[in-house]
Amino acid sequence: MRPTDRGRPMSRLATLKRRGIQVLIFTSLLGLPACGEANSKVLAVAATGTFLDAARIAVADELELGPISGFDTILVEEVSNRSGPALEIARDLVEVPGLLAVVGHSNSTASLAASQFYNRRGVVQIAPTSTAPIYSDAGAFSFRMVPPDDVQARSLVRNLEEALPPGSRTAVLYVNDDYGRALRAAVLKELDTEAFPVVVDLPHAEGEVEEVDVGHIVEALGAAEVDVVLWLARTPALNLLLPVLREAKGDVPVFGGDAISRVWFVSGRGSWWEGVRYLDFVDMDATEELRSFSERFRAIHGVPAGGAEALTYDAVRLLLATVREGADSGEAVREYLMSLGRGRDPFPGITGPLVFSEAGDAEREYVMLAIGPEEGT
Amino acid sequence: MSTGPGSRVGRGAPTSLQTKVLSVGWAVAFLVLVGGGILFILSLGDRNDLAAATDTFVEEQRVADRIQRAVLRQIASTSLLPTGDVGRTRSELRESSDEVYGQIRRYLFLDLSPAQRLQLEEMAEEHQRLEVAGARTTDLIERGLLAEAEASRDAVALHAFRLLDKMETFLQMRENDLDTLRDRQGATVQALLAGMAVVALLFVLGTLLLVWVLNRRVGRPFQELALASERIAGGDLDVRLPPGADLESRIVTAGFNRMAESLRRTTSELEDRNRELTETLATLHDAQAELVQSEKLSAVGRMTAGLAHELNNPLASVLGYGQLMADHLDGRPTVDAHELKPFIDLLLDEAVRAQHLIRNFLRFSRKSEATLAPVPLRDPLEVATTLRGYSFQQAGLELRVEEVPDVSVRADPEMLQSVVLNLVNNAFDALSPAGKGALTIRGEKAGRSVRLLFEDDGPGLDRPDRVFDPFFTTKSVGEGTGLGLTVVHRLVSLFGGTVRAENRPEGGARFMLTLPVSAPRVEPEGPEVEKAEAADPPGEGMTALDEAGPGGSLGPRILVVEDEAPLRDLQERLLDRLNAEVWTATNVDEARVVLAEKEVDIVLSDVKMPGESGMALYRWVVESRPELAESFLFVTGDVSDPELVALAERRPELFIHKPFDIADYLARVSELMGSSANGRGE
Repeated sequence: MRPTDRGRPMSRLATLKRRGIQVLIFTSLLGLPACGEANSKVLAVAATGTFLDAARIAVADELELGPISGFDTILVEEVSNRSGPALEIARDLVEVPGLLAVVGHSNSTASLAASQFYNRRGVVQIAPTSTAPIYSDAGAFSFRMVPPDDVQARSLVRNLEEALPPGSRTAVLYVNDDYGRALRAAVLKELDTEAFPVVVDLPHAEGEVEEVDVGHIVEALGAAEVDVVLWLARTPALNLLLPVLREAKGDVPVFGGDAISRVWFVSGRGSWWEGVRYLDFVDMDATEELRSFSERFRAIHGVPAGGAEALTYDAVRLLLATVREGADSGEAVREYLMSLGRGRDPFPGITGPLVFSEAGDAEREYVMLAIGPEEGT
Repeated sequence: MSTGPGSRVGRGAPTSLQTKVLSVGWAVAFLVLVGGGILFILSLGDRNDLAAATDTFVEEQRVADRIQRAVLRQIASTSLLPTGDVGRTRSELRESSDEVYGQIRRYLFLDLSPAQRLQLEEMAEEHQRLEVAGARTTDLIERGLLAEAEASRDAVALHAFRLLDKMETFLQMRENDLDTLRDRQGATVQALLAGMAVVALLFVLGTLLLVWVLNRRVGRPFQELALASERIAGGDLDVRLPPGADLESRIVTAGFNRMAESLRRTTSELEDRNRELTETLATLHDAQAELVQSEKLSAVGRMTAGLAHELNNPLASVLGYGQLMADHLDGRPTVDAHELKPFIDLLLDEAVRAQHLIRNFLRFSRKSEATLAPVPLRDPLEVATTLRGYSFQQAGLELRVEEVPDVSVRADPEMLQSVVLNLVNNAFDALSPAGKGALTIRGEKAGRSVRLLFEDDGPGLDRPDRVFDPFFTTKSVGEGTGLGLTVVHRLVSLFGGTVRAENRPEGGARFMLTLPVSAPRVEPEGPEVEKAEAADPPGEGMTALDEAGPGGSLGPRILVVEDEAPLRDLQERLLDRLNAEVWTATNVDEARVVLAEKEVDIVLSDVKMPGESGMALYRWVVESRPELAESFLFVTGDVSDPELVALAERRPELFIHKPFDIADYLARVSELMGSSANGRGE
């Protein structure tokens, strides 16, 4: 679809632009439709920029397999972790004629908030990295590329207990949104608090990063003489906290959730990140495909891709394959996704064979990574 | 309506009116049902929406209450710090926060507008800040940083109130939804009312359409049919209906037109048949009259012997007494009138007797049209006994007339006479071979009828059931026509009566006539036999003539036209008694000469004369001398001329029947003289 071909999507997307939401690319996958002719099938990706880069690579790779008749992709960048912008994007996207599916959004809160728009319009939503358990209840059209928080919490606690001796005083710092609250609850459920007493259990708000009271958190950590920090929040806030924490508490171990995988895209990242361990969805060095993808990604951004980008890549490729197979409605896409591993082979993604549970959750294990002194783990 | 067989060619087979009416009915019912169904579905949808919205609102209100309570608990928990149990406070805050979070997230799956979802997310974020502030407050208190905790506690309250405000805004949005729904309900109600009005209008229009169709396709054709029927009933058999638009009306109009055509054709045929029947009936009537007359003539022939004897007796007496008078007068210069008186009386009696015989015979033999009128029942019996008494006596038989009611019956006099004579003759024929026996005639009233019984003691009837059949007779050839009793039966039927034949148990035959009784007729004045009988006896009349004597003042001028010299002389003599100036003529030609040359006041004319008849003279007088037409009298014994008979029935005052009574003759002429004198005096 060319930007000027159709008024309505353009007007909707122009509305998004006016609201400060960057509509990055209108990609005509085939160029087959004549000028002015409407395409009937549309795929959208609504996420942060690195997710969109991964999507772009996926589209390019899919095109190499051959054209898909009458199909367009809309890429919309999310510049906020808050739910409000995600709602606005979702509200406008569902008005795009022919919209079959959306890959997005960037986090649990945004995905959860937007999910009701898609479900009520019969548009499939694949959230690349949303782990909040409540997302499983979002609706029949809501899928995600990752399992819910209990899997991550189990992996995180297992790694924590393996890395630290019992009796380690544990601080649980979480972002008080759908992601952090849920992950905190799952972690506390998995954690042997007798062996690893939680001496600090502090939420922080992340409506705006500046809201994080780093000083208070560090003082609390100091007062409690914590031995380990479980960071159940996102990287920008941790990037604020870590310098102060390192100064106050030295090299206190920091274990983070999957949200830390975005660390490579944090601007002004310093050495204080060294040693931080976090869970990622995929070991990008595990297969040649992942390494290749990561290198291609690095060629664009200068940093390697993380698991979130690989999952986005797979999500986009999966939806493109679905459309190529003939799905021409949200319902057809949904049925295709549910058929994976149930009469249809699992989708061969670069992150591994992909199937979805009845709740729309992908089944996979996490991998614990540690940030090295330079750009590597 | 058309009087011609109009048609509508090329319109194809008409649709059944029943189908059309049913179609209109079904269409109306369908429209009403569809309209009602749409209204019902619309109302059902809105009602369900309202019910769901109400349930949602109630649920949301509960959620909002829980959130408010949880927030208030959070405020209250932090307000107790730092004096309270910090651990318990933290726990309460956690529980309250979880409660608020859970309740807010319950909204996530509701059907919210984008704005509401944004507001909800703002609530969630505000709650995040509240939780953070609450956790921070407890942490600061635990660490003894009360001043900072105080500020943090204020932040808790601040975020709590902000949360409540945002929730209030959110709830207001939801209430706005309810208001919108309420407005939509109101609009729906109005739409329902409008829809009901439309449905009602459709129903009314449909009903009117149905009535219009029924009136046009049923009422109007039936009206035309009724008018056409009335026209046919009025005799207009050419009326036709145009073919109807519907199958039924086409069938009806086609059937009506066929019926009208059939009726017209049948009527035409009936008219032809009726004309033929009328002609046939007239022929039959003439034949019947001829038969009756023939039977009469037959009876006349058979009565001739008796009549001759009956006439011979008085004639013999007249002859005898006349000769005695001639002998008595012979050689005597003078005669004592007293000596002649007995002879003259006898002559007169015998002449009157002969007169009765002749008149009755003539009345019987007269051929005339039936004229039903009251007839004294005894009259025909008297005539029959007069005519047939001698025959019975000569044959050794007895003819008895016993008690007969003095009543009149409705009949034609001559025909009733014929009936009685036929029955008498029939009895005579049956009894005469044995030379003994009797016929007894008696009558009796039976309600409004009278029965007349003819009973004889003869051999009886072989086939009583066939005696009235034409030409059924047991007589020898030449003794009868075989039509006598048939004529009796038909004439009695004509009178409205019945006749029955049977054999008497004691032997012999019985004929029973039943005739309707009628009021007696007032006989018109005229020269009837009865009147003559009622007049002065001949002897007394002679006396009267003697007393009147010749001479007197100048009388009227009278022309007597008579070919028989004795009668001409007799009339001259009688008219002389009236002091009349009399001219005579022997035929019509002479009469015309006299009338041309003389002043004549009265014309007395015979009918049958050599040359032209008296009727020719009368017609000439009516035409040439109309002033004498009312002074013209026929003096005749002829009843055979139909024209004369018709004139006699119409103008009986113009006739003096031969043989006439002198007194009656003179009275009639005197009466005419008075009229003539008055005419002359004018």
